[in-house]
Parts: sequence; structure tokens; C-alpha cells
Amino acid sequence: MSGVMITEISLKEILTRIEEPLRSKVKEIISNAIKEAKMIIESRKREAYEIAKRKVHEKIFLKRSLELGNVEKKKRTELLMAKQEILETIRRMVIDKLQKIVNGEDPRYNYSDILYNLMKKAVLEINEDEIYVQANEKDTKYLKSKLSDLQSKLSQEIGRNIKIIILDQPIKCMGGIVARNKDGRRVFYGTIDGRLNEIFRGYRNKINKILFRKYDVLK
Amino acid sequence: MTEKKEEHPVIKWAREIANKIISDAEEYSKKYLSDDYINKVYEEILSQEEAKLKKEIEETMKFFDERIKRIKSIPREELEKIAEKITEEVVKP
Repeated sequence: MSGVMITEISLKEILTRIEEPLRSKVKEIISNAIKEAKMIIESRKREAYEIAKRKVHEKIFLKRSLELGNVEKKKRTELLMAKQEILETIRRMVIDKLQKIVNGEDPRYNYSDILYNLMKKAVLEINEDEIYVQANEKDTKYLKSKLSDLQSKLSQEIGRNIKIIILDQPIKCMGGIVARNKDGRRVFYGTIDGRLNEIFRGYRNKINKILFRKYDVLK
Repeated sequence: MTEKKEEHPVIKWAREIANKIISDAEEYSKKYLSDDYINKVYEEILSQEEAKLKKEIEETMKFFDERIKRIKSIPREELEKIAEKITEEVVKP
């Protein structure tokens, strides 16, 4: 804007030589021209800035989608994995506790009672008088050894004559039973492992809602 | 019939100067629409936006790292409590 600067300086000199009202009129014409000149320059600058900004936004939009998107994806996976690890830790804890119960190492629980209750539930759900039962090797032996007592107790508690057949086909599980009627149309799945899976599935939501929300930054 | 009043020479001169100022400004302002100038502004804005994006990425990472840290530091007693509840439900009739 050197041209404008020179004009401003010259204008001051000239204005001192002329008299009012001419002086005011000249001043007005020149200062309006300077204002307009500044506006022209500012408007071009703004236009250039807008063009450059649009180009930058196109580039940054892609870059942001890629880079920020990748970081978010990676970190979300890490967060999910951290939560999954917690769930796994809880699951391992439950398995340890159940193993102790099954082995008779937890004085708060009597595994024989747990087995009996599962048998009773099986009889009630299958609702027949002859029930075929499978368990793991250890429990099969135990159930066979207590068969007569079990049958009497079940018959007495349920109020009808119940016949239990302990099958010599052990299943692989931590504990519990699988029971069925004679033709196998009605089956009761009561293994400890199966119950753990089912109950744990239900707890995943509770753990997510209660535990993770409590400790997550996003409350 | 109206007679057009002749403008004072000083005013005429002022108008000429004014026109010159405006046409000079028009000429001068053309440089702002040149590729060189636009590219220069582009580079400036781009580096600002890249810095902003870098900061945004860092903040996002920090935000998730903090959440992960908090999840990983859930006290064992809390997990034990939940494990105990689940165990009870598994063995209850």
C-alpha cells in the first residue's frame, strides 16, 4: 500500500494550502477512496483465505477420518480387551471357587446337597418317575454308592415313587448332572459348567452396567 | 435549462487521486489471488490444522488410556464380590 501512504502524506501538505470548505471536501473524497481501497485489498485477502481454507478442509477431513479414526478404533479395541480381561478374571475366580466346592474344600457348601438338589430339580422338571442320570466319573461313583438313599429321599420329598438310573457313561464336566427321561425327549442340563456359562452370560450385562460404568471415565 | 456547475479544479484533482488510489488498490490486490499467495496461506492453515489434529489425536489417546487404566485397576475385592455372587447362583438349587 505504498501508493496510498504517499497519497496520505501529500494530501496533508496540499490540505494545508487550501481553504475551507474545499479542504473538507478533498479530505472526504480522499479518505473515502482510501477506505474503499482498503476494503478491496481486505476482500481479496479474505477471498484468498477462503479458497485456501476450503482446500485445507478437504485434506484435513480425509486425514482426520483416517488418522483419528484409526486411533479411536485401536483404543476402543484396547478398552474392550481390558474389560474382557476383567470378565475373564472374574470367570477364573468363579471356577476356582466352584472347584473348591466340588472338592469339598469350602466349608460353607456341601457338594452332596448341591448334587441332591440338582437331582430333585431334574425330577420335578422332567416330571416322570424313571430318571436317567449322567455325571462325571467321580460323581457317578458317589451317586451309585448313595443311590438307594437318594431314591428314598426323593420319593419321600416329591411324594411318589422315583426310580433313578445312574448311567455308566461319565460326562466331562466339573460337577453336576445331566438327566433325562427314558426316551430322551425330556432333558435336564444341570452341570456346574453349564450353569456357570448360563449365569455368567447374564452377569456380563450387569458387570458392564454396574462395575465398568463405576470405574470408566465416562460415567 | 439548467447549467451544470463546473467542479473546482482542486476537487477534480482530488477525484482523480481518489480514482488512482482505488485502481492502484485493485491492481495491488490481484497478488492475493495468485497461486503463490494462496499456496502460502494454504500451508499456514494446513500446519495449524495439522497441529490441531495432532492435539486431538493425543487427547483421544489420553482419554482412552485413562479409561483403560481405570478399568485395569478395579480392586480385586470388587471382582471377588462379583465372583462370590455368581458362585452362589451356580450352586443354589
